[in-house]
Amino acid sequence: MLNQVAQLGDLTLKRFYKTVSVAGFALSVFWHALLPQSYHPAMRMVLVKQIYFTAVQVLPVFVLIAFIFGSIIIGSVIILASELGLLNEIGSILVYFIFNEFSPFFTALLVALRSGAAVNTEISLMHVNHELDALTSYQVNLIDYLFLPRILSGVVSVTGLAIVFSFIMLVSGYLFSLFFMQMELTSYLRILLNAVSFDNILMLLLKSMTFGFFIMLLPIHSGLKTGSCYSDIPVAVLKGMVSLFVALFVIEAVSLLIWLV
Amino acid sequence: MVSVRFFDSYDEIEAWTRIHSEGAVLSDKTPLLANLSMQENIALMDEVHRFMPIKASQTLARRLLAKLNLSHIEGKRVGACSDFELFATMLLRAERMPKDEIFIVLPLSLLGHADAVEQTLALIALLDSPKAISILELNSNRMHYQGQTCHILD
Repeated sequence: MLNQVAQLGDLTLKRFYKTVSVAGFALSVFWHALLPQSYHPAMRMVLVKQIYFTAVQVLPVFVLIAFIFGSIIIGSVIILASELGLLNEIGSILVYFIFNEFSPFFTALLVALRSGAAVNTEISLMHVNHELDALTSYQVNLIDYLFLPRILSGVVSVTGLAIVFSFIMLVSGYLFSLFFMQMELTSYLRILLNAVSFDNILMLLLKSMTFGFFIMLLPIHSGLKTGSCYSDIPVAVLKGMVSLFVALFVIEAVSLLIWLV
Repeated sequence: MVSVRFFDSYDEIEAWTRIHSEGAVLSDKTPLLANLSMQENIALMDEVHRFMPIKASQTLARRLLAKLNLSHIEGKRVGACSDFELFATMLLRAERMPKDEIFIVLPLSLLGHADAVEQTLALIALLDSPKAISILELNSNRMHYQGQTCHILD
């Protein structure tokens, strides 16, 4: 019993130290983001490349997934609203589901699966290969050159893709409204415009930006904690991805609480 | 002229380079970045330390590679280059670092063959750098430097 309590205490302490370490790292990144000298030409080049890899390269697959998945979700919501006699509230329901919940969350999941894992592996590999030591030795600031562009690209990409996701879901919503409720485009748009508020848009943007920030920050932090062998890389990636998914659900829960308050 | 400094162990070399921070270190602990081409690895120094635009820094990097007769590797990455080509690129990167000296640690183990000393000295002569270049070597490899055009420091 005593042993189990000790293990629980040990685990709690480890989690606490990790959280403090991540918070410290996040603050460093924030600080560097405010410094003009962080934005040297090499950093800007990495930023452009990262936005291309994270948001542009993935676009065809993302649009397809968003359309299929968005149609299923929106279809289900409309059918459920119709069965429950909530068709008068369909505008509010669609706006809430699309802007507040599904678009940022599913975009975050897709980007985390694709880019989060890639960034975690990349940083782990660079750590094991002494490439990070080389950059430090040559006085290239790791935050400026490696981390800040990846994190900014995460923020920009997730926000941009969430907006695309929202648009695709709205189009799916219209198609379902047309087939199930014989609703015309003008009526559909009027219902949406009456339902949407500034808070919905703000929530979409803030949530997407927060997701984007942590989707890159946590894998980078995990990559930096990799051991010195190649066999440590999968362990670091696994730990990083688990932390990331826990963080995504925590952000989701916190945003819901903020919305309700 | 290139100077050569001998040490009893690798740990001693590491300790020495830590104290002498005025030099850019070229060693197996400072590899090139695998996700950049050779010209990008060299250009990175000017982009970061001198805020030189990408186009200008890469043009300069290509000119330096051409000076060492290595224009063919400018677009290649680490996996596609020989040890000698990697070594030469590392030397050019060290050259573009805004420091007064370059310390080459154990060129014999970096290049991995007996002609490494001749090749290193020939490369340095070709580069014709205004910087002071020192080779940091183990005492056990001292015989490879006998009769070479370098200044041995005891």
